Amino acid sequence: MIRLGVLMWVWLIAGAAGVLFHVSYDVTSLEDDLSALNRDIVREQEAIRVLRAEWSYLNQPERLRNLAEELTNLVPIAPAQVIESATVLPMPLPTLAAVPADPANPVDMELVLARIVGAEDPALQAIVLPPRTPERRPLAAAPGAAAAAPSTTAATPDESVPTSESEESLDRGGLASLLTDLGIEAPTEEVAQ
Amino acid sequence: MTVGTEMARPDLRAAPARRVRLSGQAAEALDMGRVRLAITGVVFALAFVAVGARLFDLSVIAVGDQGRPMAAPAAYAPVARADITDRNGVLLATSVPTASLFADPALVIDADEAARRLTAILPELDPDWLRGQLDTDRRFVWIKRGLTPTEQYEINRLGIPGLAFQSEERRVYPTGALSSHIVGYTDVDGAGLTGMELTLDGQLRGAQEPVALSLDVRLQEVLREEIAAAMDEFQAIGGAGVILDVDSGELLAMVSLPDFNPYDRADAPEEERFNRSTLGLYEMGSTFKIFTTAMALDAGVTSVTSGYDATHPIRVGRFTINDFHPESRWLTVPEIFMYSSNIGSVHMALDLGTAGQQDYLRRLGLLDPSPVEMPEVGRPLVPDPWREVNTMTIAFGHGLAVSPVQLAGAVAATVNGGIMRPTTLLHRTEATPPAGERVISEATSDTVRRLLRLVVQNGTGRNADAEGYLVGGKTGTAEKVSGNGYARSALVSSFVAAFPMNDPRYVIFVMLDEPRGNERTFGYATGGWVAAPVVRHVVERIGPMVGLMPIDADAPDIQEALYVAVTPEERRVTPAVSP
Repeated sequence: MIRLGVLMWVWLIAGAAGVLFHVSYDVTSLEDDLSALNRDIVREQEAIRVLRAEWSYLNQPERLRNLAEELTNLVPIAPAQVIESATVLPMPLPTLAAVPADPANPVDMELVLARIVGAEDPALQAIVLPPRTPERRPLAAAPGAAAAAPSTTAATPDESVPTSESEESLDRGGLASLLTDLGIEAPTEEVAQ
Repeated sequence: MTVGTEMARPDLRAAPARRVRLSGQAAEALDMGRVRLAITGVVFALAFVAVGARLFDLSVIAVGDQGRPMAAPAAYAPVARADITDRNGVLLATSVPTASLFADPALVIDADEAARRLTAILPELDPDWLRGQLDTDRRFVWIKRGLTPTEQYEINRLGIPGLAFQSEERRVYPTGALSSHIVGYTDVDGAGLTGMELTLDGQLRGAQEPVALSLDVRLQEVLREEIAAAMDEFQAIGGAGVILDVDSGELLAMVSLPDFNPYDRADAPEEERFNRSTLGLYEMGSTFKIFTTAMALDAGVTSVTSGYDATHPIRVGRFTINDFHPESRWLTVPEIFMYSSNIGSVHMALDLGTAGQQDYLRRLGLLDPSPVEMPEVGRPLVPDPWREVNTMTIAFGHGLAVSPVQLAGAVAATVNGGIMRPTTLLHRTEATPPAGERVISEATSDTVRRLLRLVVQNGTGRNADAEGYLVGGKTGTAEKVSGNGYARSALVSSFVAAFPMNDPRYVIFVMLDEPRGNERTFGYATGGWVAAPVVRHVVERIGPMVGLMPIDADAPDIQEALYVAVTPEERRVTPAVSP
């Protein structure tokens, strides 16, 4: 009887310990998730700030007016044109295109869009994040390159965590971490080329 | 309890051997020990039962209360300095995360090489200076602050040891020069240096909530563009303009040209950084006749049906006061206003007297600095001592220099029913405007509105008549002071207007500094020729923007609301409309 009781207690204790460890690992993993999410939130919020500045810049009245003059045939409203309700007018609405649509010579919408988003504007490029294009992410190519580079230290897989350029730009942990980053990044870069 | 157990222990250990001999005192002690032990056991048992009950309570019974899920607080990216927006939420100043490059020269292996590769990315840096910075014994030197994201990326790619980035915030002004005088700018550490950045420094620092200014960037852009076009046409050295909400005292636009790009402020000459709208003080000329007429009518020293003899110039000491467009006859008060007669205005001011004039001007806020929330506000140049000749010259706007924003505020008070409210650059969110102070009566304000409309319909301000918006206004042309006298050719030409005149909503002031007449204006550079058309263009463009429906000027109720009999003959034939 006593042995059965002892055995039961041992099983209970073992079970409790197992559950405890499981919960503890769950909590640790959730905490990791949480801090990852928080990092993402901060990064997105900073991106939103930059995008808001960009939006304001792109919406400068002077810029919009110039674009409207260049790309559309719309002009400011004259007081005589203002009426109580648009329904009393039988006229068709004006078209947006600066020139009447010509099937033989279509408007290059890519060029029009490039003008509207300010792709060539140096003052805007001083504010915005660099474009997120694949060739601008050398670290994204790291897994294959690191495998081919035996000189890379063993720490590489863990410490080259920033895999996208935006993460990298946010990783400003001071001199030490930057040196680590650079020490890893440089050989990776050479091998990649 | 512990004491009890200690005492009982020797007896227990000895018990098997001494059982027989136990009696009397020893047995008593043993019993006492057992009782104490039992009590201890009961107490411990109770404690464990309590703990168990509480566990049961927490885990089974009260699970709904205690076990509800709680969200971990989400992280947010705090900003070191809050945004500044216009009244519609358009960003005028914001902080964006940026990286600044610094170096620890002790860790830089090859300063020459590092400097060479860095200047390839940052061409604005001087290579020799950079080499010197990287070759010092210090452990910290700034290389460049506020890198663009692309620059940071490129430098990171170089992989030069000893370089590192410091995460900072950079102040960005998306609207650039459009609002640079009002918003101002900060130093590299984010402390306000000028404009609202300085005024609101305490409020912005460490705050997250944006501060909304009363400006409307759309109106600001229209005003700036039209004044710039006029400056260009008339080769003026400067210009200023103000759009003011008549009822709330909010500044919707305030322009000072030439202006500067906030990013190139270090290279901007003093001339460009000078805010003519708040800091500039000008003798405004005939626009002051609005106040002279209003105060004379309000004090009852004259009426809209009386008049003055403007046949002869007035001589005071070495001055001769004459009219620019002499009619040389007896003029009614509306005619004096319409033809902008200096002589008639001087007579009106003399009838009111110096003390009365000072009192009205003070209440119109023209003798004290404007209350607008800018660090750069000019103190009016008030004559001291204030003699009768000053009273006479101030009647037509000479001898008292005020800022454009002050003039606009005072005009707003004369047309909005007579209430003076402090001019502000902060967006007023409360539904009712501040109480303000009554300066002139409702009836006088009504008469002034009719007179201002008369100037645009038939007088010197015809060029300002924007069809459908019932503009009323007054021209002003002042000669600039040079040396001991006035320069005949250096003018400050201005026009101040309100619209729509039957129920004014906005006051617009436009001023050009030293314009030159051209062929289109027949060589004239007066307010009616150079500034009034600017007002017309601005009103025509902003009218639809602010949602004002064009008004038919010929409608009977509008005619009646704005009618004023100019001549005695007109009064006799037309059914009298009480002003």
